[in-house]
Amino acid sequence: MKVLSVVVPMYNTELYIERCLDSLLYHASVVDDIEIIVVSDGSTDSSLEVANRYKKKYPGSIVVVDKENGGHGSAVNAGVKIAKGRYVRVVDSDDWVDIDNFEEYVKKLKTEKADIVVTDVRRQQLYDESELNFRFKETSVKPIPIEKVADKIMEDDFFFEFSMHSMTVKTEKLREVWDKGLLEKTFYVDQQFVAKVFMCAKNFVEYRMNVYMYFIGRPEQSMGDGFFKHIEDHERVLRWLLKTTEDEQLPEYYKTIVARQVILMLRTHYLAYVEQPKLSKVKKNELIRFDAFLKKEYPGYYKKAGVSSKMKQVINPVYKTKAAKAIHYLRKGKE
Amino acid sequence: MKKGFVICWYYPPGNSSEGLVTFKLLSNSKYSYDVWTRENQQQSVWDRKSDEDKLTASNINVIKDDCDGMKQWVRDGLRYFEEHKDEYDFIMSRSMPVESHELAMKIKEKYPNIKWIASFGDPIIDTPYIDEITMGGQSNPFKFKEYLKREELSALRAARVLVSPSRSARKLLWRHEKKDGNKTAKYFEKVNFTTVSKADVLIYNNEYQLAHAFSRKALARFKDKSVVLEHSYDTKMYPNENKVTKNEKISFIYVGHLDDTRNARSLLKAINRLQKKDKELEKRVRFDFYGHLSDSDKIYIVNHGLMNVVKVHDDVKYLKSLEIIKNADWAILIDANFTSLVDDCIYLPAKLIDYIGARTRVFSISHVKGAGSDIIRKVGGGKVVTHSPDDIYLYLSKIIYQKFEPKPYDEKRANYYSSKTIAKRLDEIEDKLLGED
Repeated sequence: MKVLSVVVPMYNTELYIERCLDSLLYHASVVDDIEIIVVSDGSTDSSLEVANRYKKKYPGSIVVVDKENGGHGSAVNAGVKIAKGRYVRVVDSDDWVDIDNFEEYVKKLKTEKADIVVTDVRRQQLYDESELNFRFKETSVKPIPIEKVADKIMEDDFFFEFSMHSMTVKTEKLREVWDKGLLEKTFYVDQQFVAKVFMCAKNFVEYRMNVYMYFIGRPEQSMGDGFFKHIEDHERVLRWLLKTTEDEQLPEYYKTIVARQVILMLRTHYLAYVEQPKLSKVKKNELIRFDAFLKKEYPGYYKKAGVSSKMKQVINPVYKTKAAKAIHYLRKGKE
Repeated sequence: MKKGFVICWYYPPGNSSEGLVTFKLLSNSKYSYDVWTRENQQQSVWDRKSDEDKLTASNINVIKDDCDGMKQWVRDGLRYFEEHKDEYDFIMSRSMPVESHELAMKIKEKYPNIKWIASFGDPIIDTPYIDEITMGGQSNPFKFKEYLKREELSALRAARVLVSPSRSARKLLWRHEKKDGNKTAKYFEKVNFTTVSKADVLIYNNEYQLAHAFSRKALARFKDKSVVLEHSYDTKMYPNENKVTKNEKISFIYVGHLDDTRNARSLLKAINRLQKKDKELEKRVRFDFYGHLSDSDKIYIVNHGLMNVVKVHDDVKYLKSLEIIKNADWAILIDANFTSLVDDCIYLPAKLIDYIGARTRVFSISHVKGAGSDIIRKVGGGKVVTHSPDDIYLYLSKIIYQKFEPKPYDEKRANYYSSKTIAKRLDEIEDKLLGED
């Protein structure tokens, strides 16, 4: 049995996919332990061709799926569905893994028992050539029950330590809650992925090592300048998370975690509108509608949305004030 | 034989990139040329060392103006042309600097029937290079001030004439001289518009640059008379001997000018990471930089103890540089990182074509998409990585520890960049312009 399945959702990343695969296949000693599932989400460039070239060279370690375009979530769904590894994780095709630690990480997974394995993420910001490292502050060699540390997870309003890019999860556990999987034709489903992982797991362990290289600098990507283009998707994911919090059968600690995700996403959501140099009437009304929905359906979150955050490493501190001001401005005269 | 009057401030023996590109192109053309350039080409910190009289060609006559700055050079050039106008069938202006086009403009104004080919080395307006400097790299006014102070001092110290292939220095020197940046900008706009509208043929060195040049609506209507003519390499200039392989260490070389904007920092960071992990790195690999490196990069090398792996050398003459390129395992290409301003790299570095001419493997640090990156992917022989130090680290590791080999050179595609082929295309442009069959 393979130790790890790496799902690589791919859409028109012909200029990046080689880097991703080269890093995953760098250590010959663990190549046979991993299964790389490259899911071409209806790519129209030569990325599928590149993936097939690698598959030819590593037939025992690479599976290539070619499907119709359905968005990032649908590609992850297709990969998770066929994953045969004991653990599964997602590595986007424009990102890559840290070759200094990947071998040790896979070797450790062989004897691992925890439901979730958390590893560090190193964010590569091409526009200023800087790097940021994300890591959870608690660590233990034994699996930590999530229930016991739920109040510390994302307590600094900081969700990069528990992101799609930092989490490796037991495949069979994930499948228990996978159901329809992630939302299709929707960006920002990584938050949905995180929620699902916490839904299925009871404990986690943290390896103090960087595994994931998160690349910011591709012109087409949804982070950065492209964020606002897909703001409707952001709202869809937010609504999905909000709905999840209503499920009375889910344990309290899980709700605590999802609630933090919701609050963080709400702030980002309002902020995305505020940061636009020019906001069209349509977009403004869109935000007003969402704000009214939140007030009516989730009054608790409505109040919390304006609370300042501590996303000091990711977002300039001045932004938190801006987000709070924006929400205040939006609601002025309504309360 | 038809003869052209070529206006070119940079020309061998002064070894600026633009001058060398011009020489390789014209010396392989079937036409005859008089090149209007200047005497006493200064050796500033940005100039590469001269190859004295080695770069000559039978179809090129060089006229060196003993001028005191570019204004006089333009004036003298107009006077010279007036006296010899009957000898020429067309004129060709080559930037940088912009003053080449200014002289051509004046000639065209006086002699409207003369055919004019305008060749753009780099964009004159809307250039990311200037935007990056103006914004200090990160739109940070404090950083910009600091940069300005540092650069201005070093530029003024080094430059003896108000010309330099470094756009940053040009910009700063103009500021110093005129105390009015807008004046310069307006002058650039005017020269650019007149050149684009009045010249008969416009030459750009790559498709990205061409698209960039016509991104303004006011200029788009002139696009039809533009053509892409890439840089070229001349096989005759490389040493005849076969590649000298030592097999001891993997050798990476960089030949040419680097500064604060186009810098080696991300590469140095990657080398630093390699050295931290591998204490015996110096036994496996060596990086040689020939030419100007920014002070901050030099300090980085010292502060991080990279001196045994990274060597910084004085500039070398052009022909010597080709020998170094030919004998290296990998030749490094570094484009400026303009990710915060533009998606694609619009610059085609002439050294890339020299690397291709030597059939040396190219390790290119650039925008994923751009003139140079596209060529490397098409021609083979190299690997393109982004400016991310960890991206660079991954592929340096593959090269050093796993003997990574890029896709081999596609000979047919590589040959396309030989100066014979490119010059033939220039001849065709000139044939058409002059109504020759």
